[in-house]
Amino acid sequence: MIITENNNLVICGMAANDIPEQETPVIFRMLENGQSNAVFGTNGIRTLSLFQGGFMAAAERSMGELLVANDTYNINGEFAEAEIRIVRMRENGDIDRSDGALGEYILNTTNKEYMQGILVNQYDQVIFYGHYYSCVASDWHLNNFMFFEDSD
Amino acid sequence: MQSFSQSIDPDFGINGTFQSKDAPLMTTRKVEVSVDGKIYALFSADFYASEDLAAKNGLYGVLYRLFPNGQIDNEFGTNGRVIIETTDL
Repeated sequence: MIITENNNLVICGMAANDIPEQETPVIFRMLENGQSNAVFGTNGIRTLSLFQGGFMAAAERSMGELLVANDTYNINGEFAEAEIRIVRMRENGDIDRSDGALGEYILNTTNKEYMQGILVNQYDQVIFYGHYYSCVASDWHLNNFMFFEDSD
Repeated sequence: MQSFSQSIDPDFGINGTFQSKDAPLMTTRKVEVSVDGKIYALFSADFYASEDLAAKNGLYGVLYRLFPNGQIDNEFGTNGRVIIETTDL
């Protein structure tokens, strides 16, 4: 959940289906009074078919652009684990496809990361954070990660 | 920088605590504070968390808005809360 610059509330999650690889990402956008923001998606609700399952997080960049990301099941219903998928979304819920037909970015990771959230810093850089597990000589470790978007 | 009092403010909510009426089957997902100090608290739940939600099978979320003193802001949604149905948050 985030509070946008114009005091809207954006909540993202998965449409419950009890079958994780068949769950549908869904984003709600509300006005400050709790009513649906009717200009976002369809009556304040936007579903995505680009990725499935996993944990969802959102952040707002400058100019009202929304970023929605998840650590994902891939389009074949397999838990990808080593990737985070990101979609850029305009204020009305339309996907920004200016950099590609799908408008989807894939951040390839290496350690089966579990994303806990995303942030945008004062330079409009995106920061992904979460944790992953590692096993060294039968000893399990819980590790944290933070990825910064390359600003170059 | 303001010092940390290391004690709970008894004037917040009821004796320093806000507990949704949908408890105890609710899981806190996220809490955000707006620039005017109002508190948004997002919970998620499975089945039958409270009597008035009993008919709602499946996963759903409940979003409350509180005043800075922990009282529910009844101008938000319906009686201070919005129910987000069929979503795993």
